[in-house]
Amino acid sequence: MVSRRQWFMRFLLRSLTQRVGRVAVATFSVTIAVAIVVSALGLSRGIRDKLGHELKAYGANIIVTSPAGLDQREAEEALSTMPGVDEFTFQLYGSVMAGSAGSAVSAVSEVAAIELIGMDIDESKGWKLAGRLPLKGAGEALVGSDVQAALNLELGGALELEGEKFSLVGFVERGGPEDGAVMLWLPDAQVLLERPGTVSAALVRAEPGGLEEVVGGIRRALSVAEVKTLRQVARAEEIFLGKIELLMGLVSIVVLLAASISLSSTMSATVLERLKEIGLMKAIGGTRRGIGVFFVSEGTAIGVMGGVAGYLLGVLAAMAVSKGAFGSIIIVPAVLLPLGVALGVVISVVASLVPLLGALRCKPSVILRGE
Amino acid sequence: MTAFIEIKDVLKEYGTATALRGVSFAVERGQWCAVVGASGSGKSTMLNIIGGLDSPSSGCVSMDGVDLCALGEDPMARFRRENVGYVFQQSHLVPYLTSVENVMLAQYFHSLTDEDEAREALARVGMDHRLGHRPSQLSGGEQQRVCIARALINSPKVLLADEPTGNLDRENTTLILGLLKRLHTEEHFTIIMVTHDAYVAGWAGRVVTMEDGLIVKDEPSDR
Repeated sequence: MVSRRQWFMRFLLRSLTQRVGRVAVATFSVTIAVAIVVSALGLSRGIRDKLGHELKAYGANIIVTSPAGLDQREAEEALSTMPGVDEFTFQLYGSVMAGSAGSAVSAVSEVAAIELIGMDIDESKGWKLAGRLPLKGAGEALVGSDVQAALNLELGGALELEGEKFSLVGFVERGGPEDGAVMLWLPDAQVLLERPGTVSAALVRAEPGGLEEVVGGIRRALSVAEVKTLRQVARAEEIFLGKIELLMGLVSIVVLLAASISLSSTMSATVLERLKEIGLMKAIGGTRRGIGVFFVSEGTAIGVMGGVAGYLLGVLAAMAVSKGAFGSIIIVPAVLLPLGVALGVVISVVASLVPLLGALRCKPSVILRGE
Repeated sequence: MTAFIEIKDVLKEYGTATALRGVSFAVERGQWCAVVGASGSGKSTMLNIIGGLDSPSSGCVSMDGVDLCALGEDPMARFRRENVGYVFQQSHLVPYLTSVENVMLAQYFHSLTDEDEAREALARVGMDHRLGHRPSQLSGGEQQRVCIARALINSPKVLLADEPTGNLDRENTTLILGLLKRLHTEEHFTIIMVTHDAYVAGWAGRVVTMEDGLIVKDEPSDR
């Protein structure tokens, strides 16, 4: 005696394994549909991450200041644990008396008051640099292009700031305030300006889309601080990323519709080919429900196989596309596997339901006559 | 007393075409009745209506006291699997199932599947040596014997056969008819068989002749 469940599985397995060509065509259709959607969704998410990373070159999108200066430790503690904060850096601003000294090729220029910026120099980006970045704690300075011209400075020379000598290792040009300033590592600047443990500003890079939450969080954590968003940067980023996501979403929907229509014709052809089988099942006593369950189970099995294969193919496609576009590989999240399988099952079952319901409504005599 | 199978004033229309024009007909339990007639005479339509594969445009059909016209589609399917065994001209076997699995398919839609019983049913029709073969590996006569085994597996009250030997040579025709004869004489099956072949009809105990949707003759077989 074979249980009904065991027989059902045997019947289903026979149907799938003895009709390899047809099952392969249907599974392939599901695979392609799922692969395109998985790769589009994976790329959509990956592109956001990648572009977000690229957009970091634009710098911070929130600036935190205080008239009396910020306590560096307090600010560091608050920002390092705050959700939505990608990264942050501190700067200290001040004015110092400067002049070139000790260079073999340049004479001492007259002493002038210039702007000093103390910062984490390694993390600064977007500079056009001649020479190299200063090493931390090595008594080295980076000079903006305007200062270089005004003081007639040369690489390898020395710069005297408030009586302290700094080696000139690099010149930068950015088209911003850095061009008219001398840049030191933050600890050096704090010593030179006699403001240990204090910073003028925290430059915060928050995730685009979560800007307002981060601003609110900073205001609560650092009550004395003035928090401003760099709206142009932030808004441009959000709009740009939003459009990219919308585009990918629309592409996914269009592709899904096109794939579903194509799959629907494949599944229709498969069901129509088996009309006689359906008529026979009805003739020997199969109810609409009993026959429907069999065909829907078959569609589900094809959907699962196509869903898994489609996910794997979609991951490979997303990796190949991202490698070509960004030069690095996007990792498609594993959560898209169950989503891909569910999608495969839904489109496979829905595509087979329409012709199946039509066939189930027919009288068996009509089907068996071949009309 | 009501006959085992009774159809009364049955009319069947397909659009503007009329297949049955008010046919009345009765079959007693244990009878083997052949329905003969030219192509388009309405004999297959009448068989389909008796077996619940089709419904009449008007008129009544009853089997074993059950009014088939009052049954909806699914109750009719349940009635068919409990009471009717079909043998078709084209045996209509599921191509990807073996002989024994094709018989088990009828068991599955009826109740429980029992492979031993399915093997026995195939042995009854002399097919115990072809249990694991698929339809494409069987001859026409062998396919028809599998179809008979499938029709018998759920112990139906009536066997309906539509041109069961229509695609077979004389040798296989005789073999199939011999099988039906044995089922009729030894197991007292009620059989209604549609055919256009006088030789085949001669095996039945009663021959009903149809013409243009009407029964024109109803007489015992001269065999």
